[in-house]
Amino acid sequence: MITKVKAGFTFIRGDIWTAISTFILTVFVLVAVLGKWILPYPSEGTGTANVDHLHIGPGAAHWLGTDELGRDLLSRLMYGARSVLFTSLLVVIVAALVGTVLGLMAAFFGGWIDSAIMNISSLFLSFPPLLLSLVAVSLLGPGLKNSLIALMISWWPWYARLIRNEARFVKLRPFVEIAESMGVSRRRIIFRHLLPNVTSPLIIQFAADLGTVILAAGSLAFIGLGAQPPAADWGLLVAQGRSVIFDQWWISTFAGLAIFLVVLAFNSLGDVLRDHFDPRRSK
Amino acid sequence: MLFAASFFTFFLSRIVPNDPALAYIGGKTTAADEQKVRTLLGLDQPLPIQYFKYLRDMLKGNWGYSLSTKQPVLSEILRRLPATLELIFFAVGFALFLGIICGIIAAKKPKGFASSFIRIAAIAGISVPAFWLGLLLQLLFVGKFHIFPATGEFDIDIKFTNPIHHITGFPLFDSLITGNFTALTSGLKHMVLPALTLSAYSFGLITRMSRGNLLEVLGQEYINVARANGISERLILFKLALKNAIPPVITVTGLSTAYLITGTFFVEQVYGWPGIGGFAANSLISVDYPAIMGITILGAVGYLVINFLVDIIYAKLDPRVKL
Amino acid sequence: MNTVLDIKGLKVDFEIKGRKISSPIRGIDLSINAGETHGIVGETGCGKSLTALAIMGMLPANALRTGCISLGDVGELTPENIQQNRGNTISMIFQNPHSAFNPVFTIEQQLLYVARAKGFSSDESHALFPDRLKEVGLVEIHRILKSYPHELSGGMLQRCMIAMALLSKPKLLIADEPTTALDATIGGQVLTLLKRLQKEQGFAMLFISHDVTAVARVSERIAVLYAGKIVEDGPTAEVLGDPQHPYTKGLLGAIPSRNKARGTLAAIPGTVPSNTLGMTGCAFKSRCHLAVPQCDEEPNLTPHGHTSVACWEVRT
Repeated sequence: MITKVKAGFTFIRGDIWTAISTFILTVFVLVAVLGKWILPYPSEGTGTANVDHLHIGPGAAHWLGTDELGRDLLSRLMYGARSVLFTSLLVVIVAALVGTVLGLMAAFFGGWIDSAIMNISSLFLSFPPLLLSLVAVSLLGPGLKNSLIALMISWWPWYARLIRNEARFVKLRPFVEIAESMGVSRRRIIFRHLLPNVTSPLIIQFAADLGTVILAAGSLAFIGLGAQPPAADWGLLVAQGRSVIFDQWWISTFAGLAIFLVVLAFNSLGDVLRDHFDPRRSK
Repeated sequence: MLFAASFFTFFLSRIVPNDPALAYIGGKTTAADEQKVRTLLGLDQPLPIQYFKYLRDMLKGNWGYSLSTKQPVLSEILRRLPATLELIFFAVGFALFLGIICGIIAAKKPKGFASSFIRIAAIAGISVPAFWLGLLLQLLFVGKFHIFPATGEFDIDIKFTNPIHHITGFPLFDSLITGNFTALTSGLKHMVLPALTLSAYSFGLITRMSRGNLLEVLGQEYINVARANGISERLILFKLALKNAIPPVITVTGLSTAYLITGTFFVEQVYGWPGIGGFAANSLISVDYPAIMGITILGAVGYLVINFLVDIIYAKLDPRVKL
Repeated sequence: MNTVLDIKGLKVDFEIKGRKISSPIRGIDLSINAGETHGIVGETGCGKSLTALAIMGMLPANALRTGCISLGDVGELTPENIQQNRGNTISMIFQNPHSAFNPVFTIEQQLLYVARAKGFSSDESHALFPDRLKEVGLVEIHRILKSYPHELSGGMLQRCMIAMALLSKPKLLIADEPTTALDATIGGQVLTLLKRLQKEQGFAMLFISHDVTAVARVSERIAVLYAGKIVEDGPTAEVLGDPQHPYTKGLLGAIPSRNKARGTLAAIPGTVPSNTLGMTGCAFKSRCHLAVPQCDEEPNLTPHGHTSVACWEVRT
């Protein structure tokens, strides 16, 4: 365990960019987890308006300025971090779980199960990414819950297809055949043999998807189909700042910057993970 | 595949809690009126029959009427298509051009400063929220520096001073071939920011793929052999290596173009671009069923077409691939 | 005597940030005359391919070469003039014919690139190619020219590679394991082809391989390479018939052959040192059954009859 952590540190310290990304992510996670306890202006962060302080620019009292309801922007952003992190985690975990299970089943059982699962996945995947989510949310009605459901629905096919292809690859290897011929139970084969070998592509996809889902959720919120006010979702904040962008530029700018930095950090880490797990694969 | 797509959207729209008839009328009506509309729209028929009617209508060109604009969906879409296509054209073109160049630069000197910078720029391109980038660019270049105009496809008065003669229906292209240079410059000025915003994601993917692939190709034995036979480094890079490295880049371009389709929803909204994206965004928000279904079909079709094109181009470039 | 290639004191070191990390070639002297083939044998890792790359000026960026390599009339080969000579006066053929060709271009197109690099015009090239391909024993020339590499067999590709290398009638041909990736019969044909071409065109050839039988077939002289130094050098018949250096004896003893009596193959104990940095004395001493204290001092190649041997124990 200790050696793994040490190894982790060496490759993080590998170059300065990875260090920066890790830093950003650690800050992000900490803020999201600690939430209310560390906000500079706790009540404003969670949504209470402060009518005396409308539209103040960035300055000493409010590092990032205040929004159209006088709430400290930094607090709002920090409070929103929690929703951003947990919602995207939820989406990716569920999608990954469903997709992985289905993918493993498709790879292992083959035949009509494989065709069925793959055809359904292809159906979902034949649409440009995000389009399905957009349509689904629109039809289900705006709101955070629906947007999450929509995203989960659109995302699982990627995992199903990825895992299925990887597992098929593994399945062709001799040790699986040997296990089968020795009468090892199906469930054991799937979990003890196939699964461990597909974990690295899974992890890589997971890390990268976290970033992408944050982006997607933010986009949904921006359009108005995702989280609704008075939530502090960052995409929503960008939308709210849009009408006053030329005067109170800080609202949209900083909210969007937050999204950008976090997604950037996730994608960078995803890249690093990819290099680490399989340096043979070109970027 | 297309059938499945249409079936799927249809299915979605019918299982959803909202009643299409109500949505169509607006809500302040009597039960009898509602029933009339239902019969009119064919909503009282069993679902499979509804579906067949829907398919038949689609093929005939009747895509229903938009709930918000009350115009035929198909004509609304076709009316706005050229503007979006031109936008996508510029965005992809720009991304390809800059992306491949950056990929080459980064591959020539993999350890250099330029290479690291380009790599980060590529990841940034993939990570940046399109809507935010759009707003930011507007803030800087319109608000601060006053270089570019904020919204719209052309200056408003162009319609009066230098109206564009519509030949192909593509405004920018038409103004080019009719020699209408005022309109052309106005159009190009308006095009810069939206195209740049839209191109970011593609740029990131293309740069990353170009660099990675080129590096891999340059490490191959046949490059060494070419060098041993005295071929110049420049020729090796630009002719021999590049042709090997490009095909996957094309695939990636196709993929990102598909992503771009949904990207236009946001970018066009931010820039007030009169294209399908804006229409789509509005339809989604106002839950305009017929419009949404039309857009979805269009999206799926577009995706299919793009993938098809990519396959063809790939096969042309790489002789090992059979179509 | 028409000396085409003359190598004196070739040393190659690898370094990182100014610090030497290994010395794969520690001093090679070699010369080849026109129309003659000199073979280099040795195990993997002894520096054979690096020697070829050093001559071609294609060493990796962190390599440091010292010593003098000169080519016939051209004189000393330097980083400045190597580019023009490559593919012109010196050519090289490689081990794996399938990976040596660019998969997305036809054979004809690839030949054209090479021909143009050597100054031929398009027309001249198109007139030239059929003859050259015929020279290397290919038939169906038109089909081959229009084919892509993945459509041709290893033997055909190797012949194409030879044709490509000989396009400009070089003075020196370096062959780096050209038959290793081919099956025995095809390999044999390629060897015969090379020898015939050498007789017809009169180039000098440096033939590198770990396959002693192949080297023996084409070379008039053989040099045995161990850990970056030549330990024995001389006419083929003598080196193979009456090896002097303990390593050579061990190497030849380890070759299976029909003529040897049945029994276990003799293996040389130990392994080739992977990095000779910091080593003093003979590199073979740790594996040598003749080792004596004097072996702590590096033996040089000294003439012994018709061959040269680098060993203290070979005297009389």
